[in-house]
Amino acid sequence: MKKLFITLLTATVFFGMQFANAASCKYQEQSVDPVTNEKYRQTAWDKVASGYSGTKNVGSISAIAKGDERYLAVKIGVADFYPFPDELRQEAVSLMDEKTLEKYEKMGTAKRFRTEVEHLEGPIENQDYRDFLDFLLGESLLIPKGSTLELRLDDQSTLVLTTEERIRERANYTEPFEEKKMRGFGALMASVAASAVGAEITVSAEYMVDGYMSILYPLNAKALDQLSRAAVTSLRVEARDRYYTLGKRNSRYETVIWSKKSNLKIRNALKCVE
Amino acid sequence: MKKLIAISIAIFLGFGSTVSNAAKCKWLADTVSYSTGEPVRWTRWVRNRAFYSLGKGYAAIAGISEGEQKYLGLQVIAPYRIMTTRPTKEDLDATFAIPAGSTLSILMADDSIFELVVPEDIIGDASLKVEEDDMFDDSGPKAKSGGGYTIESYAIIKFPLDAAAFTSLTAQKASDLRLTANGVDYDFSFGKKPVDKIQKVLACVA
Repeated sequence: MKKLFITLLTATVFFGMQFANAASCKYQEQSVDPVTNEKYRQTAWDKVASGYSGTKNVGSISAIAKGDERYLAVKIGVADFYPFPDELRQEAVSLMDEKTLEKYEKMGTAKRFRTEVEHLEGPIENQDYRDFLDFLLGESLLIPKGSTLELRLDDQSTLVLTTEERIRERANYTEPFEEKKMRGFGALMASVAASAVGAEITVSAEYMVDGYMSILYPLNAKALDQLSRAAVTSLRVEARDRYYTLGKRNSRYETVIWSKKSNLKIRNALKCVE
Repeated sequence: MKKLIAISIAIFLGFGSTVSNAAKCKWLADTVSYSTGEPVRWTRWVRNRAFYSLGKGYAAIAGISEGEQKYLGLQVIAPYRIMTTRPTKEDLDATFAIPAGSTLSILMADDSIFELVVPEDIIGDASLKVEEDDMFDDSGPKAKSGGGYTIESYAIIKFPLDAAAFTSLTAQKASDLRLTANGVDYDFSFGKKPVDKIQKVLACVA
């Protein structure tokens, strides 16, 4: 009886451990490279920074194995702000008749903006205005080839990776003075926070562009070796004309991103594609 | 009985002093370099309340050792800079750039000035600040409140110390620091009287 019990216990512990090991590596469904038709393995996206912890941008990481090559993938959810160009404003004013112009000069900022846009949209859309919107949609979320990813490691060194391709993602934009439509838990939290302080939810006087960018950074042997051992304390993604930091400063003048457990997420993801 | 009390006191004192020694040095990093395999130690950043330069931000110091090399670490945190136009990447890089050859002058307790030199060009880390009342969902913050763009920036400078410099800085207290970069003096004071903050952080990495 005792023997049977010990055998059962051993088997349970053994299978439990196997299950725990398997559970620590989660993969996306097997993917196929559209260019080479090569199958590759990619770990599930693991969130490393979210807005609720006070960080600036939301972001996730994933590790990829394509043949012998290894990649670190970073997906960031970003928001950016662009003012309505003065040239378009002047162009809109030049299209107004005298009566409208008289009314326009007495309007508040938000109403002025709407009037300007109405004139630019007109019966035939103004080409410069169209170009500006096309830029916001198609060019605002752009990472040129050769852009860097700076990873701060817990030994206080910085590891720099470089992307091999140009990344361009389609963005969404929200017009100035328009309330951004929020979804899910974020919307709930925003309304709770606003009602708690008795405040109106603020809107921007600029175009707000938002979207996701997924960026692949190839890892050479040295980088792979370091990241397979290191704890990463923050990330800084270089984009066309901005940096996106996944991390925040704490009251001890340190740049930190995640909890100690989360610092190891890149290391753990890379182990899953060894 | 007397012996037991004596032993207990000895253990208590021994344990107490171990704890207090350990408590003296707080570490930001106490590990091994992933690239060189050498031991790396950074004390936590230490700041004095009066360690503030009006209009030019504030600073903190740390003792650093990487292998055999010792450094005095200086972190300068710039005040928020507000731009009305959208800052470019070049604006961010230029926000806190400290060229090689800039100097750090330390006023020591005996009124002598000890000078250290910035060994390489430093580009401070600058990022756009998102206002606290911004709320996020999976597609980013809801809106930017207020006008303008707020830039947060800071720079970390490691001043290498040879044996003579290390000895000089640990021999006496200091009261003031002046970082001179790009023709601008950033003055930071520990207070009216000299204090042993630099001595303490360097002692941790001795």
